[in-house]
Amino acid sequence: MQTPNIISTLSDESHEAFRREIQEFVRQELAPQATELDQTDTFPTAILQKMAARGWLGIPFPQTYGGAGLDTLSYIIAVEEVSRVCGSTGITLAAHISLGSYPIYQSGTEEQKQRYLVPLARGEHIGSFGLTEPQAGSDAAGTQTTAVRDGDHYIINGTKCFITNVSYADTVVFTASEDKSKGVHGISAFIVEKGTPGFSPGKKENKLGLRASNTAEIYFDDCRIPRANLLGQSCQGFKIFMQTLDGGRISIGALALGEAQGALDEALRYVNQDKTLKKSQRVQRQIADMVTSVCAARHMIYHAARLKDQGQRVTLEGAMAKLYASEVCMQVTSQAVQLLGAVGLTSQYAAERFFRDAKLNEIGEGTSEIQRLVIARQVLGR
Amino acid sequence: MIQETLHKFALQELDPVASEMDQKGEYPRKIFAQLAQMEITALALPEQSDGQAIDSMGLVLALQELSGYWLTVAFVLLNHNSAIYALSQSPHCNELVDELLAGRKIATLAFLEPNGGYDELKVTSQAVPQGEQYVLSGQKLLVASGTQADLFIWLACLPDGQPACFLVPRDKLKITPQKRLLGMQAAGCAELELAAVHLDKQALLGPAANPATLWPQIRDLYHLGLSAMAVGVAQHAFELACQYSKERQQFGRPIGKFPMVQERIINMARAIAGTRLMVYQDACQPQQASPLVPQLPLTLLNTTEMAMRVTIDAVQVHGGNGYTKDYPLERYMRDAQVLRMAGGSPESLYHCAAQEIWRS
Repeated sequence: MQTPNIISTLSDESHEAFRREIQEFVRQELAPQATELDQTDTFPTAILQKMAARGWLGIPFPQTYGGAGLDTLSYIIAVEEVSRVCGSTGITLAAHISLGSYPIYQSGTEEQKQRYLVPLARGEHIGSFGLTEPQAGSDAAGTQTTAVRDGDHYIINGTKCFITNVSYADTVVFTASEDKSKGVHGISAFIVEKGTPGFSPGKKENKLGLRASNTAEIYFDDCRIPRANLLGQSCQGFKIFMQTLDGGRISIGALALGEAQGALDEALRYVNQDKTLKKSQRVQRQIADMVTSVCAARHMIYHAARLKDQGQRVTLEGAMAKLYASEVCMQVTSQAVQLLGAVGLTSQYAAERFFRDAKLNEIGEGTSEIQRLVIARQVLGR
Repeated sequence: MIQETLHKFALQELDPVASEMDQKGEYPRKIFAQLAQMEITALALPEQSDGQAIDSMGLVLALQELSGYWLTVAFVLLNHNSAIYALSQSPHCNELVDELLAGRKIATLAFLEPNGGYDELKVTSQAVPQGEQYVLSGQKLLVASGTQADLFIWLACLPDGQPACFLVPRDKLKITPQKRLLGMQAAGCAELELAAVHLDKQALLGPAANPATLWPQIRDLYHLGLSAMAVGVAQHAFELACQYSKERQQFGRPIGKFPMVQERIINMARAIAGTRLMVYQDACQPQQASPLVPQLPLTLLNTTEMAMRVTIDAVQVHGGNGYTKDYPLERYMRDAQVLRMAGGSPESLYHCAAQEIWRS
């Protein structure tokens, strides 16, 4: 498989060396089975184990916590290169790191980090993040799930949905309301372990794309979790998930970028082997537009990752990068299907898979509508 | 009248089964038989013996209604009806036309070729005269009803380079089902191959005096039908998005109360309204036997691009729910992408339009 060189002034040689390492791995291990994983709805367990062995399930976390000790940009490049071949594995990785592990790294106690973050970063555990509920989608603060203190425990009741990785997760970070009268200021974040009585993953979603990734409901039915599993302070859950989403958006941007690049790779390969297409100016026009927009998306995402690595807030840059990359991804994947003509509609080529995967990026971790609100608020003020 | 009847039919017969049958890839044979019984198969048949008065509007309205609930059924029907029209314009085919009208046999068009069918004007399939016969070779793909049809209208080039239509029975063809297509998964799409197959001269369809005039008529009819399908699926996606935006509550109110959601939905309506008029205008124009009505490639490009955008937006309005198979929007979006390719690639449509405009 030819992989056109990616050049960015925002990445260093160490990043590009890491990219080549990831590329080599996905070329050998993931590319040969990506279509099969999608067509058979198979969660990429074996791939994740191999990635864990290389330390890639904890890329941005310090080595003292079992991570690889690399920066955000390295992590973003990993999500990009994995998604370039398989969006399902890309979102599994992104959800594990940005959503399932990061809040514990950011807000956990030392004890919680040792107990939960270390196995997650080492890849011995799979992580997940339970925020969305049937009635709390874009309105993430509308959490209906309740947490009631009972001595040294909390009793949790409620339902979460569209939770990535959850059927395979060992630990799930989730939100619940301790006091609904306080609205967002009544929400707390908790960690629940797989197998806790009263906690059960439910129906798996039958999705348009990302079919090898796992998305399911979770039910809490008088689930008792120890008070020690409260993440951060009581009623600080809103802040925790907003911070989590600030970073998570960059990784969804990277997912979109990878899928767009993957579809573009496919289009370039196809057009290159067909002299008539290659000479068509209309085809050239389309390819030029695709390359240009993917390049622009990449720089927005790398820029946001760099800012985060400098310790700056990335609410605005992360939202802009995610919004732009996800819309570019939808256009580019759709165009790639068209460029391949009638065969582009078959699973013989990856373009149709990327096209199906792409739509999620405009929905997950904040719809495009929500990203635009976030962006406008950042520049207009409230 | 036909709208009401078919709307009711689609609601009762298509809506409950479409999603499941699509996922199983189950060809809608029973539904097709019902449509034949309702004489929907006759909609492309010329009312006058000179073949000048196709009931295009009836066909357009019928396809629109069916497409709103299941594009696949409209796709199968359009192919069948286009084939009937082709046979009705040809000598010796009256009996076959009756069989097809009654739905006892299924017919379809085979014109897209590998390499994306990039240019239907450069058909690579050949028809070589040999004594009292033609020898046909070539490959087709994305042939609707390919796995089911009894009769195929095959587009091949005559030695003078003119594309012409041939009637090919099923047993002459090598048929490979196209499984795991992005969309229209129940349409029985197949790849077809003819390897130096000998056919009687009568297999060449069209008016005896000038058979090559048939293909442009079929293509126009087909493009018009696909355009109507695009409007139909977009219309229903829009209706579902409206309905959902009234029911789905977030931030304490229906999401349809938010101007950003309103803007998206109103833009869907704008796009549909404009392209629908193009389709109606094309349908009302008196049919010319040939040459190509230059408006049609433009109409097809506009309607199919519009349907792609509108169905993607309808998924967006439904959020996470739209991404699942619990709702039909993801199917509309996949089917719309197939629809964009079904009438030949955009490349060939631009080429058609350009030829008209810069005819030397």
